Amino acid sequence: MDAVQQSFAGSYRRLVGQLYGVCGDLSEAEDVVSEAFVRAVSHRRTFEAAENPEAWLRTVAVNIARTRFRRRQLGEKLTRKAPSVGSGRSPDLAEDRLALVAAMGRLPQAQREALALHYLADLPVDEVARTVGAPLGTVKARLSRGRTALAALMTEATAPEGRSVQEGQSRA
Amino acid sequence: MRDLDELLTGRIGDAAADVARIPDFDALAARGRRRTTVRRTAAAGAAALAVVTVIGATQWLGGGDPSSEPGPVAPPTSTPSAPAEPKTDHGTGPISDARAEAIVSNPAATLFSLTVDPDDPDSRASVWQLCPAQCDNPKYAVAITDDGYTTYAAFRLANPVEVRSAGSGRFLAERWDPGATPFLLDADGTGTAVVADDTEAPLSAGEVVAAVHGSGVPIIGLLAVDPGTGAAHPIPLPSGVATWQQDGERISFLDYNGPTARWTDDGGATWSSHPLDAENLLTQLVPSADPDRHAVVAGGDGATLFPFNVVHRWDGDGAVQRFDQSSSPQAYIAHQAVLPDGRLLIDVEDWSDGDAPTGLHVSAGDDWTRFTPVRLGAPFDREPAQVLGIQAHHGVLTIDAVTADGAVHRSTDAGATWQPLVVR
Repeated sequence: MDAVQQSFAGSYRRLVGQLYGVCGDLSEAEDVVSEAFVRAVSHRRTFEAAENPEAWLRTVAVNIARTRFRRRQLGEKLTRKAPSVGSGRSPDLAEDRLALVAAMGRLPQAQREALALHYLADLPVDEVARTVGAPLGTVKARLSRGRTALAALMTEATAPEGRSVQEGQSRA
Repeated sequence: MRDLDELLTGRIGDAAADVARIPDFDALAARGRRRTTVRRTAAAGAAALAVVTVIGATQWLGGGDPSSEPGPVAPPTSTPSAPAEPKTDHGTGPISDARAEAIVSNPAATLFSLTVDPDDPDSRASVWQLCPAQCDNPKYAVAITDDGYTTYAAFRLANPVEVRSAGSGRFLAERWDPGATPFLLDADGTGTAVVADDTEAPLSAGEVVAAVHGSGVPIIGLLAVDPGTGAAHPIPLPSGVATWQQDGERISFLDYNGPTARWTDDGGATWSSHPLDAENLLTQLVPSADPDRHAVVAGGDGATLFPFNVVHRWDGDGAVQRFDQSSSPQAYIAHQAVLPDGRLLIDVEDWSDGDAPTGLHVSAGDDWTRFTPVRLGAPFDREPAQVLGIQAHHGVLTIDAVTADGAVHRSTDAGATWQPLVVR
């Protein structure tokens, strides 16, 4: 079995789980992880030289997710259409956990990535920093700000109708 | 509802992993292999049959002397059905192959230019020059990425090209050969020829601008290019474009007859102009991050250095001002830009008396005759910043600079802080 296939067998599911929070959609997470494996095959030498193949695939997948997100945003801007991501497929989770993933989708992209990889995917902070290509302190700041913003969004979601808890949250 | 900590640690990732649909690995691997084939041997089917085709293709990608790229692309070890490259009157499409990768990854290669998509900083194009021992025929290649160079596609160039971002991981490469239309390069290793019709129309949403260079005149036209298909049409344009730039919605150019600054905010449907009192001086547009302030610098012919003699500035309220610069000492500048707060930033390459510090300087507020050195953040607090380029986009000014050991850093706060930027 070659190196890419070996990683596929051992890491595909775990990577989809890790990317689910980043993408906010299960099918999108499957697509970006699949694309990361396509790139591993097309850049085999780079992949095989990577010290940690799963970390390499995760970084590529996060970058692909980021690029696809930006392209969708650009497309929405140009066509003035509403966001179209999402197949509706979800993991078997309680409603409040699905609400949490949806609320994370309203956070700025960098905060969403940090929260998803650290809390939902259980990666240590230094591994998150390596994955997103940001300094450790920056990731810690994103985690702290992201948690605060997420708490506000979750409170807003459960607040009585017509009452805004915090305004000014922006989509990345 | 459970509290946030409990929700966040609720094994959400595991639940997603449990229900993930596993794709067919063989199909993914086949996609990856096809992509490798496209990158390495685009046009290789033809190349294996005829060397002349390869030379023609190389010529297509940057023009110039075909002898600078004497050999053919190595044929693939197998002959998969490579997708057909677009045909144009200039030959086949661009070549992405192992030789291009060898240029890009060679530690001796030097960075010739860098273009970063302002809306997606992970999408970058770096042009590399390889010229061992002051060679006669430098080799060039461009590396295109949409993931910050975790992966990239490399294309050979016969001559350097002007690269502009076309969005969505694509870049426009403008060739300097007279009348040559540009081409689109994609991070997936494919190239698309830009094919222009004769119908003049203003720039539409989603289109990007590229120049067609002339012979005897610098630029003979601006094209509006559909970055998805490569279809293009000319933008209505007064004649006499010497140099041009795009800051967000605004396209500006300097007319070499006069000279006159002209600009449009509606994609070329209507043009405004401002005559410049700069007879017999060379002029350059100033990228501006202040939407209400625009400028042109003018200087005498300093051969290799550009003497900073005059700045023309016009503001949104219609006020036009001319700032004559001191000649004792005379500053020679390499880059210039208007900061978001309206101050003028200049990159001083040298002074006529050779005493004052060089590097980035900023004007004393609106007084564009007095400049002080900018206190730069690390790593340029310890070594000079060799500025690679300054771009303005929707009110943000971006400076790219290189350290002595070739590491590129980027600043979006006028040099106060810098972040490393991977360029290959």
